[in-house]
Amino acid sequence: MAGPLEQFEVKPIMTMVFEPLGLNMSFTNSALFMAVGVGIAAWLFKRGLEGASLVPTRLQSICEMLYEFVRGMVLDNVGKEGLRYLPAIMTLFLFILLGNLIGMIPGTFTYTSHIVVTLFMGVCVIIAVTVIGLARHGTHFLSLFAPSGVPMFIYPLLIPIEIVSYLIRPFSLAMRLAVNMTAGHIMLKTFGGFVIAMGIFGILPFLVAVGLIGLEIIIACLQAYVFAVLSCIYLNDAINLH
Amino acid sequence: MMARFRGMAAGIFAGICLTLVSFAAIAAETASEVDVTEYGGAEHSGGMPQLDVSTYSSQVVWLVIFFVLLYQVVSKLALPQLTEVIRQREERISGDLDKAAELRAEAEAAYSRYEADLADAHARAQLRIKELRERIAEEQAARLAELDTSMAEKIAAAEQRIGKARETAMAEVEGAAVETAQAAIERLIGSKVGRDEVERALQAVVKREAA
Repeated sequence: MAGPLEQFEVKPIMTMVFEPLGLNMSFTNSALFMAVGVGIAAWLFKRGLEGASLVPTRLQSICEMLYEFVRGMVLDNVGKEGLRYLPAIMTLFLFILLGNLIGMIPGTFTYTSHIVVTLFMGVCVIIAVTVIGLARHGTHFLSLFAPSGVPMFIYPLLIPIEIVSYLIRPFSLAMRLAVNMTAGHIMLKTFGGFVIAMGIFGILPFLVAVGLIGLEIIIACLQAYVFAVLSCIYLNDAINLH
Repeated sequence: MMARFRGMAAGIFAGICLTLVSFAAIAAETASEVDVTEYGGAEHSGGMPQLDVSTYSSQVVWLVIFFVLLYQVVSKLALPQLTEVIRQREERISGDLDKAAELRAEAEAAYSRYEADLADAHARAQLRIKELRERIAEEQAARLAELDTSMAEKIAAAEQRIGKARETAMAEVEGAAVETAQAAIERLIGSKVGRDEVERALQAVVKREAA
């Protein structure tokens, strides 16, 4: 029987290599489910918003709820200035949410369980936030690492800590999401294995697995929210220097 | 603002590309190493597939492709329509609320007008009633006065008539007394006495009685 880690294997569907760099860019099961996620989002917005009316249909309500949710998140954490980056935050939220939720379907691949995917997104968020901060405030943006109202002699200690905590942000973002997804799926797979192995008594791990699936769906939504809201908070640091 | 946004987007995109290239370089380097030693060694040794660096480049490439695609879907398809429909709804709601407030003000104005009219009508009616009452009272007083005078006249006339009647009655009584006295004297003394003599005698008696 397949081990609990088999579900995370990236299997090429179509092998592709970018010759000049010798770069492996095969279309894999990971890419397939990213495509499925984008397809679902496109379908949802296309069907939900065609002939969008004042009295929304069910699909339109879903679109509007997603929009209002992300918009409220940006407004609460960044303010009106942050609405310029609403498309980016919304894309980030939807990409992670869809990845997490598609992963809850047995047999699918959870692309957000891979540290390279989440780390890449985290690094991009931090680079984007830094670029925005430098563009808005110039070198004054560096005062982010030297909070005011602190005794002078603390600065030699404080500034390195602030810099490290800033640089560690993409890793904390990435680890939080990928590890949550991985751990949840391993747990589900393990309990799923027990159901078969224990025969008639498999009903017990089955019940546990049922509960765990509910929990995992909550975590899937929650981690997408956490990633997006932390990105908003970092964006807020860049836009409204404290 | 749009230009600035474009600039930001370009910046973000440049950042993504930079990171992508660096990741790709690392991945390419490690992948070639892995190829030489043992491809997919992580799977067989029971390690985590997440740590199999040979898959990193393809994951990142497709992540960028689909993330940019989703960004296009969100920014070109979803957000413009969503902001539009929500703006329309808010407009409609605030418009309806304004209209409701207007109609309410109108209704209130009509009601106050109606109340004013009602109060006016009440006041006019009260005035008419008062006038009417005064006129009736005047007429009554006049008629009473008229009645009084005519009654007084009638009483006076009646009194006059009564006085006259009394005088004639008294005269008649005197005449009757004289005749009776004549007849009595005739019976008593058997001879007729002159009428003037009897009258005189009676008047003397009356005078004496009166004194």
